[in-house]
Amino acid sequence: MAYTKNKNHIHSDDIYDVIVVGSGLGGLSAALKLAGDGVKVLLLERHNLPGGFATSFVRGRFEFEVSLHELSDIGPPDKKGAVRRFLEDELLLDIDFLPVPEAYHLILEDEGINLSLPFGVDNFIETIAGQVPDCLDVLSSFMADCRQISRALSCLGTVKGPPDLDLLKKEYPEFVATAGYTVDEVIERYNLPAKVRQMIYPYWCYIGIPTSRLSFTIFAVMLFSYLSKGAYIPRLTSHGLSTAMEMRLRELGTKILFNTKVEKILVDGGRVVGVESAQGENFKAPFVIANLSPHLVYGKMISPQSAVPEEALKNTSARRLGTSAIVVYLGLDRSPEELGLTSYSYFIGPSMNTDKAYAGFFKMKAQDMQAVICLNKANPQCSPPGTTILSSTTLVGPGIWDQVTPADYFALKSKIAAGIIDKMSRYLGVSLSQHIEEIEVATPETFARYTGSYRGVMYGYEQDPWDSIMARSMLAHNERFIKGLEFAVGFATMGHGYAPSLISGRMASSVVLRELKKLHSSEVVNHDKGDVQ
Amino acid sequence: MQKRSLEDDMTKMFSVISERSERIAAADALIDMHDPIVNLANNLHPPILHLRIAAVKDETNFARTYRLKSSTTKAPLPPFKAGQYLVVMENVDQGIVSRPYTISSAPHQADSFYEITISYKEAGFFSKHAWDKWKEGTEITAEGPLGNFYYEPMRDKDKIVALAGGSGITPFRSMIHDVITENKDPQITLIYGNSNENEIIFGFELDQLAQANPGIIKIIHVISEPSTDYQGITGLISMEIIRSVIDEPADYSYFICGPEAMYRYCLSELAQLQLPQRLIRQELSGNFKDVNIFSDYPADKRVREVSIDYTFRTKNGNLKANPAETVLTAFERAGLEPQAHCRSGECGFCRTLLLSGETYVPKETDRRRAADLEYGYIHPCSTYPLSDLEVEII
Repeated sequence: MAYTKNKNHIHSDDIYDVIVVGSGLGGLSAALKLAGDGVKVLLLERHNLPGGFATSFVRGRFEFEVSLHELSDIGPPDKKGAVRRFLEDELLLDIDFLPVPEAYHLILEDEGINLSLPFGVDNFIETIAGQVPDCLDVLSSFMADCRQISRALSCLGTVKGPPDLDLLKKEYPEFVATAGYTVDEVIERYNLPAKVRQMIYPYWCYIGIPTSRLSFTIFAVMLFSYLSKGAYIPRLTSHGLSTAMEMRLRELGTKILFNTKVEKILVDGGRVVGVESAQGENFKAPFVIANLSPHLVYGKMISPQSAVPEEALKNTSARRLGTSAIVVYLGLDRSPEELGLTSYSYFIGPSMNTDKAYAGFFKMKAQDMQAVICLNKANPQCSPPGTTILSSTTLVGPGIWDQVTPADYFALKSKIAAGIIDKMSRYLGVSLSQHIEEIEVATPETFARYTGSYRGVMYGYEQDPWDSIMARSMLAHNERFIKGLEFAVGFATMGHGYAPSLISGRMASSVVLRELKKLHSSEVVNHDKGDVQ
Repeated sequence: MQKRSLEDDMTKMFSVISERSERIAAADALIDMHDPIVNLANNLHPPILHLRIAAVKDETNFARTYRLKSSTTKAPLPPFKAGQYLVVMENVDQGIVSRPYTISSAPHQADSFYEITISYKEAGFFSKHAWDKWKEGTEITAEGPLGNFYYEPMRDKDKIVALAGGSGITPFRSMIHDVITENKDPQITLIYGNSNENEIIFGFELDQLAQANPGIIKIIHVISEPSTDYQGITGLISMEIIRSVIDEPADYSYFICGPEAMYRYCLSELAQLQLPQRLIRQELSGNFKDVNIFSDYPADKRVREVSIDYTFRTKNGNLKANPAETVLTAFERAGLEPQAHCRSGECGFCRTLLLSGETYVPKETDRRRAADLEYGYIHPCSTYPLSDLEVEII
């Protein structure tokens, strides 16, 4: 797909409608949505690449996907999911998506589980029922409830203002019955055999808090969405997704400056007026969309700092930071078949005890629970014939790497990576150590270095019920603290992840678009008054 | 599902809102901005290093080692892995030019200094500048340490064959000191090629280390144009020489660093051993001098001069370029200062958008991401113009 390449010449005295700070997926999505509506946008990015975490890197003859496991809500071309509709029909992007072959391959050593679970709600239920006797009915009823909850949330997403409670109770009773509870609390109500619970829990890793704290609504919607719509990856890695968005922005004439770290978001009279870069450049706009954490924005970027209302400080300090990650990337000189790798997405570990796994995030060691991706199984052309790209992601709680010194860093990173590779080899039952042609290891430090994310956090804020997407959405109107400032980021209302970040950009842009129209109409009014005087 | 009171559940649903409000009301009106992870990242990878030349030592008539200390802090310099390089930046003629130099000192010495060793023999204008201008006390700036040419125990064999040519000895000097000081893997068999025995860099120092550490370090010198009375092995680093000093070839990892002709020859010699690709690692370190060495270079398309229209942040302009040189060199000759680190196509820091025009990128140094290839990004350090170009420098 070719995008028209426009010259991207910046004049420092230009005035923009909106400045987007950060070209992660939230920032790209917000900028693109606005630019498509004719808004004059300036996009600023500290790195020399777009995408934030949605990027790739090259070592030798391998191109590694940095963070994407799978995109939700894409769906096949003939039955588009919400994210594909947004990307293709609203943003007019042309991205080649490849389907992920299975929901996940679960290997739990202590439980004796080694099972590949398919996409498709019915196939998923049947596969589990084939393994665990007498669970068909209860699992079917559980999945039917997940379907109803997903529909309830879609319905809530389309209405403006407070939800119609009577309608909710009548049409979506399971949503009402479960929305205030954690996964564990709701699962208790079903008579699901322990083994079945183990088999349906793995997606909790994508949110990163244990099922004893995770909002059931979030889990149910996530599980149902993946199973019913499948998952996809961009053929050219997530860097391909980010770059396609960048190219479409260029086509629309949007100005983009890389290697430009924004130090200050300038506020005057309670309203955003522009930003200042580390190079000392000033750019003016009445709106700023931050692809940044509220921690950075309210904690140090708003200038003057006195312009940050106390509620903003309290709101931010009340939140709990989500996890960062350690990712081990391997380029192997054997094909997946030669190695004995049969699936794309593996969840591996001793058992599916999410409290125990979560507690492990706060220990300085190779985690037991790993999410392993064999990229070739969804994209056979991703590396040369006879080779494999394999990565393992383990989560790291905030604070754990705080005491690491530069002198310790390399040795510590190697030790943990070696432990991860050992465990991965054991759980997968494949011999890796003799076939490693390239290896790279990313730690919280690596993510902080390249994205500037506060404390290297990857997973935004933790989504306990009180800080889940639902609670955030219901109070979002009360939680805007500075006029003209919106967030499009994994720390925002929709939470972290690829699809939520894209949707978060869409939400921020629609608020700004509405406000921009108001602002323009009031300017016209003011001009009229001026004329009269 | 066990039925419950929907009214109770509704209350519970809304309780998350009151819980949220209560938690926020009870929170500190102060955000903890202490960020040890970003501090760690800045300490490991400071955006710029301000260094002072603390000592200068002539190693041979053609190679000189500069000891670099921080000019701004007494704290240790950022740690590095033996084999990594610094990008040294200097004001040469009309603009700032940068060059990668492998750190020749050992990692443990980064507590107080780094050393780089610059050869005057294959002198480009940068090394000439350093030789002419750098004295004890000269202040320079650098970026790094960077690079992927280092021993990695999870990937490499515990025995390595180090193939060095001329000033390509620098990473191996660092590795040998590291192995001995830290008492760790790998065992190193160094085969060091020079044209004349007088040009051997670190010869006495490394030979002594090898003698003191038998079974860990072994050094074989190979001289291509020896003096008449030279007693040692002569010629080029051939497969026979390599084969004669090791047992089973597949039990070793092979690290190559040296001038272009040398590493090409070594690669072709190693090819005869039919080793898996994972056992061979090379440091390209810097510019290719002549585009004509690439067999697929379309020499018939070569023109005398091309014109490059560029946009670079808030600047734009036009420059003339010599098609035999890389696009990066053209930028630098015009006084532009784009980011550039490895100068070998690998790191991607000079990533630039090609808006129009035709270029040649040697396959062996084309390390672009697939999407960058698709959408027309180039790495100017390994890209040669074939026509007039229009580019946006990131």
